[in-house]
Amino acid sequence: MNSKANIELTKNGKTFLLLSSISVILGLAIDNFLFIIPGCFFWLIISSAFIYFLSNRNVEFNVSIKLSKEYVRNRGLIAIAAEITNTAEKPRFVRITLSYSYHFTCIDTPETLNIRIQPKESKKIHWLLLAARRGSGSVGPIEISLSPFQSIFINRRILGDIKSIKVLPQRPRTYIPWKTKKDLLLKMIHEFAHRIKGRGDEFHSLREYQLGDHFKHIHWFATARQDKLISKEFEDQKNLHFLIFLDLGSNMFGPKFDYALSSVVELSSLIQGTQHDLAIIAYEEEVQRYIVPQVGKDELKLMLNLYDLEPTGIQSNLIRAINFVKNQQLHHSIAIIFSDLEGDITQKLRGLQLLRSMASRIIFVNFSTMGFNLLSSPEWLQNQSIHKEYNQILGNVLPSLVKDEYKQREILVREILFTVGGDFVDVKGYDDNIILSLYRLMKKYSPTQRIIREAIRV
Amino acid sequence: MRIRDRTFEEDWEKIFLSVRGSNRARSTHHISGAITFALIIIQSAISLNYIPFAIWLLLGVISVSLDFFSNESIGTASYLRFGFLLIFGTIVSMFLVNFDSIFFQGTFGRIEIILWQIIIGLFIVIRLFTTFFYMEYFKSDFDIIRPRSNYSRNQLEQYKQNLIKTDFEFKKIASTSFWRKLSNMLGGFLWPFIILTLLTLLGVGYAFLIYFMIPSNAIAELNVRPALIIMAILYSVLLIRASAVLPKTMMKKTSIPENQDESIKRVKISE
Repeated sequence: MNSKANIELTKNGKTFLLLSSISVILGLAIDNFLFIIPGCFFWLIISSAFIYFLSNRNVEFNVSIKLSKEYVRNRGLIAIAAEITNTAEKPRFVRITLSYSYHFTCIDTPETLNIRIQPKESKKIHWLLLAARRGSGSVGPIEISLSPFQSIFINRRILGDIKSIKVLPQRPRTYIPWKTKKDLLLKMIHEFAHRIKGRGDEFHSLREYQLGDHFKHIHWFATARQDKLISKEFEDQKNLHFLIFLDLGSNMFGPKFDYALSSVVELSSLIQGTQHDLAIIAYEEEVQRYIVPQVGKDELKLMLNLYDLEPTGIQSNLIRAINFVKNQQLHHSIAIIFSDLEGDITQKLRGLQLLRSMASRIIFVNFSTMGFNLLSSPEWLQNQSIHKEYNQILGNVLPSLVKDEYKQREILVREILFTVGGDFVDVKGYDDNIILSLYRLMKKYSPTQRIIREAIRV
Repeated sequence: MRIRDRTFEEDWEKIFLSVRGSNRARSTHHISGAITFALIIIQSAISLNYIPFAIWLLLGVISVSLDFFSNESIGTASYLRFGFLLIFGTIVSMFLVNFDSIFFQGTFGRIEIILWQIIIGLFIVIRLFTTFFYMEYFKSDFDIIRPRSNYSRNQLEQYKQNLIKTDFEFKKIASTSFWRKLSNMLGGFLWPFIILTLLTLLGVGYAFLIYFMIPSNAIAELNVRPALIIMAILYSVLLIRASAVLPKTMMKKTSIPENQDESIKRVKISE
């Protein structure tokens, strides 16, 4: 157990010491007890603090900290238990403070408690923390303040180890039934997976009978038509190879980025327990993190690899990320880009064209919607402005300007995607869900939609 | 249940909770400040001089208004403001009225003046004490996050129930009462107070003995007051040095192993 002592005269203490000395000297000089008495009183307090410290120098405590879990989802709860033992011979009235990183907030109980511990007694204290920010959080150590004059003379023991806790991305807010996910996966397989002959259950084509074909695979009607034995040929089980590009660029920050990360993790829930695989490339100027293709990836394991990703504030470079994919020779059937329409849009457009040359299906998932656009949120800005005219500008003009800009950029991206055979998906806000957005997208590939499109073309 | 988890995650409110007894400490602090100025105003009224009366009345109104109607937290800043007003009033009274006894025009005798000053000084001490008391135990008036709706509160209770019979069984510790905190604060300097008061009273008694034994003249004044001022300066220096030295007594000195100490190596080579 780590143990440290923190003893010093605080800034308040130094200020009061100086003022009380001046007060006493001034009072003596002008013969005024009005100044002498308070100055002497403060001297008394500071002397008492020193005497208390000297008489309690060898006071020690034993502290052990336990956590209810090592990782927690964002907005989840975690319990902390600390056992404190007074090893001295006298009872102690102490103040106990739990330290924790900015990822957590204390709920229900204050982080600082005043308790009385008898000699050789152990007391258990519990705190309940809410995980407020994703990342590598930490809890501990415990600070035990001994004397009652901490505001002027700190006399503290810092005990216990720092325990790290992983705060994982937030659970998605909308629950998608497993049937919907399976349905979506089948549609994606049908549209995007390459058809290969093999030993599956799906019919591929007819061919001449070869020695060794099973008699139940013989297509009797075709045999009767052609006067020779004809067998059915089947497709190999179609596997999807997802490749996800996660933008860590300057405009992906705050709740927008957190929601993008949660969406990536939720996408992995599609392939859980299947033979499909998923690879992730998190990029900004360079590729920051690369998760190799994982078959049937478990959601939790993926979160443990991604939870500490943070946007870097640097303009992202999609072209570099795609060149990385080329160098690694990553075979994929669907490339899904989680990004926004902000920053250097021409660079993104060039990246999309480059991706097309790798013969993959592209889906661009856009997070630049008013639901995530924090900085131009009218309600937030209106609360800050005091002038009525500026208020009106913020309320009426700015959101529409932002919307117009987004619309223009969206048109550019859609044009490129149309030429490369890709798709555009919007995630409108916290109430939207990536699985639902993809489900809506796949509807356009349904046979009914195809017929309608062809009729329109004709 | 899964759909309604969204409610639980969003349904939090931030509220401000004050620590038990903080209102009592705050009221004592403000009232002692008000009484201090009230006594000084009464003194100045009895002095039958409208200048100090007006000055102190104005300063008193400012101080009491700032105490009761501003949202300033009790701490060093509020005490510095209070001290500044007292010193300002004292200096102005000294220059405008009476340099010797600040605001009396011979209406009182010397003993009465000293008694008044001591009483006012005691109320300033009460204000100083409540400032430290508040900073120690009530500064942690805090903002906490808690669930808003009944559903979310039930979810939180259920979470706590699930922790029963584990190491994390959630038991709330009863908050310490106001009187327990006060007794702990006073107990912290009971013995030092007794010892230092006895020493001070002995010193003051000795000083008064000399003062009353020696005829009241300039030589007596020159002997006693400068000696007290020098003693005050020396004691201040002692406290400042002690605050620098005492923390170092807790640092454990580790002995440097022989092979790491260069001076020992050099001696061995020369041998």
